[in-house]
Amino acid sequence: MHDYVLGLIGGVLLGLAALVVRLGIGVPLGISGFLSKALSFRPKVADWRLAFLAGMALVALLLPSVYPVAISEVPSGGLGLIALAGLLVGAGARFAGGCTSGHSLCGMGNLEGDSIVATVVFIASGAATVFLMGGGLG
Amino acid sequence: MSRYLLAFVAGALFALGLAVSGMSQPSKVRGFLDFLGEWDMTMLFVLGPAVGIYFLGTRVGKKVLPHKFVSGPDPEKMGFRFFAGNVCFGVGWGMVGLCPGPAIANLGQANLPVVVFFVCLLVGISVADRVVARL
Repeated sequence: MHDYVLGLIGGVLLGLAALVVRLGIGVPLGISGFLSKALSFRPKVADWRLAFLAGMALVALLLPSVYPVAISEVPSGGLGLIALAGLLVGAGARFAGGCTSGHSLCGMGNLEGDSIVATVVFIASGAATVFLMGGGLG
Repeated sequence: MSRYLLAFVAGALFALGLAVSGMSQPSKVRGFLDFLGEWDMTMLFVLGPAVGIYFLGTRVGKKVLPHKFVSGPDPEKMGFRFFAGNVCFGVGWGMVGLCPGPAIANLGQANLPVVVFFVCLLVGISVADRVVARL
């Protein structure tokens, strides 16, 4: 199947997942926020978010045997670069009040101004980074 | 249905969506960010239905389940912290092509780079939360 068709199907699944959380539980879906609450190590704070992360983890464990193509790609770059990127993404998302799921999916889907600005800023800085590193395939 | 079961199903659906859409693959993400190179516009095809379904679903939801919408998230104050955070996020995202959701989806490959990224992601989240708590 063409990448764009798979993108559309996957996009439907992502939208439905966010809607289930919004309508079923009553809050927007945001992975960095869920991880932050889970890292409080207080079960009452983390609550149902642990069940959400467990659902993700189950699929993550099944992907290697069910749909390995999706995760066959090992991130490129040295471990130092990867570690720095992980720190920047984690800290950046918390300072920005959300990551791609919270801002670009739920926030933009609810037409929130701050989320639209956040998405524009991180796409622009991501694009500048890819350009300075010599392109997406580099 | 209990909200734990709902949350579990939503989490599975979300990871599946990342895998099917191709957004679990760093090269697809970096390809999207490579506007001046061989631009890969797949992410637009992902965001379109995802944002559209969420938009329409929440419009209907506000009418059908108004009690779920009494409080939403407060908008972020668009100050230095907000912009610096988004720039840091974007730079890290562009460097490797992973953000929090796809990092979890990739954990099953049990490769050192993915594990290193995920652990550092958690460290970044904890450190930032502690800094914000002191502000």
